Amino acid sequence: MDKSITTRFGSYVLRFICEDQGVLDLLDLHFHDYLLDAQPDVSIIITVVTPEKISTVKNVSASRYEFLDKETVNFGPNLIEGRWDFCNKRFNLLISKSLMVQEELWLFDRFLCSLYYTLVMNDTNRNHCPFIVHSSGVIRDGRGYVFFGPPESGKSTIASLSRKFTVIHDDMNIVTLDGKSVMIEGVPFNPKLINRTNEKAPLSMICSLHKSDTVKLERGSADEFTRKVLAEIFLPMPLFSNDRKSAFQYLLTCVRELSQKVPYYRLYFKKDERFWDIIEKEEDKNGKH
Amino acid sequence: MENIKDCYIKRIEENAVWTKLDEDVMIIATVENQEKVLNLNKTAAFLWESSDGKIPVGTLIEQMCQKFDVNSETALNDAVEFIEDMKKRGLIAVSATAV
Repeated sequence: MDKSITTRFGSYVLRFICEDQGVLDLLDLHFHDYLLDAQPDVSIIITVVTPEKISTVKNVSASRYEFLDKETVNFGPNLIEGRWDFCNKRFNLLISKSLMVQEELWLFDRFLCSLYYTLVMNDTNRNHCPFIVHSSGVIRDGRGYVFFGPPESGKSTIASLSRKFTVIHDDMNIVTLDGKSVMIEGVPFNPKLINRTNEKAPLSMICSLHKSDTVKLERGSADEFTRKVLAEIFLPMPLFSNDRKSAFQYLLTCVRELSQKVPYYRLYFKKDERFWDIIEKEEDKNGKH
Repeated sequence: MENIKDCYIKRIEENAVWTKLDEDVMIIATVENQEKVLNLNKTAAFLWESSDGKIPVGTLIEQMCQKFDVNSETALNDAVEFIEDMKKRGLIAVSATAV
């Protein structure tokens, strides 16, 4: 019996198989509340190696990758060498020891985001228009809210001020289409500060964050939403495809489509909870209750 | 770029996904290892949309002066800055003849 753990990432199930119990324990802690018992969409076989066992590539930026051949990729650079077995939906990874420690797992998370987009782009039923956005995600009374912005814009502050509701994730969330509804769910990685929750909810409002001396909401246009949110999206760079343009075009199409479906606002806020009152008033005005 | 006004600029479409938003243009640069979202202001957006390799840069600068009410020196500086940046990113090609 393989030593393994299985986790959910968006609508996909990933199984990690590794002989090294220490690595499995680390991943178990990392994915803890996203672990499940289900048939995987893809199996990821991890072999932890010393750095010299991984092919060396040059001119690759941090958390980017280069193809060694059409089925092999070097990510990092020189941190992960992955060989994709398309027929068996297996992904064999040589991972540098240096990556498999708590402090460096964020780079592994980046790799998994690329893997996620790879699965999306190879999904024959691709109609859920997903994107991963740097944001705080909160569920309040069954409705989802996304607060996005650049570093230091207040994502973690918003999450911290929303503890009495359900914080999905304080740094990265997945926005998807589910039929006619737009949904929000978290990524399975450790959050920055606030405990995350493995839940999803229909998205009621999406806000860009603006620190201010006052608290107010201003309705923004679909074009403004597209412009602002694109700057905060984890760009889809599918592994094993040089056709990045298709992936980026798909992302743009998804964002444009979602911009028509969910109310977008600029949220000006101070470090207190009053922004929720303003949101509630706005929703009352629009007849959401 | 001594004779920039006589040059022609053309978008390299395979390296970009782009869309018009209000008066601005948003580009996702797809060049390997230089993937980035770029937000062009209205003058840069005008140049980007006009970069079809058929109109000399000098004519584009004249059009900028009329369209955006800027003097020719400002328009030239904006155009040179745009061309250098976009060329460096692999998003436009500059040539001495029309395509």
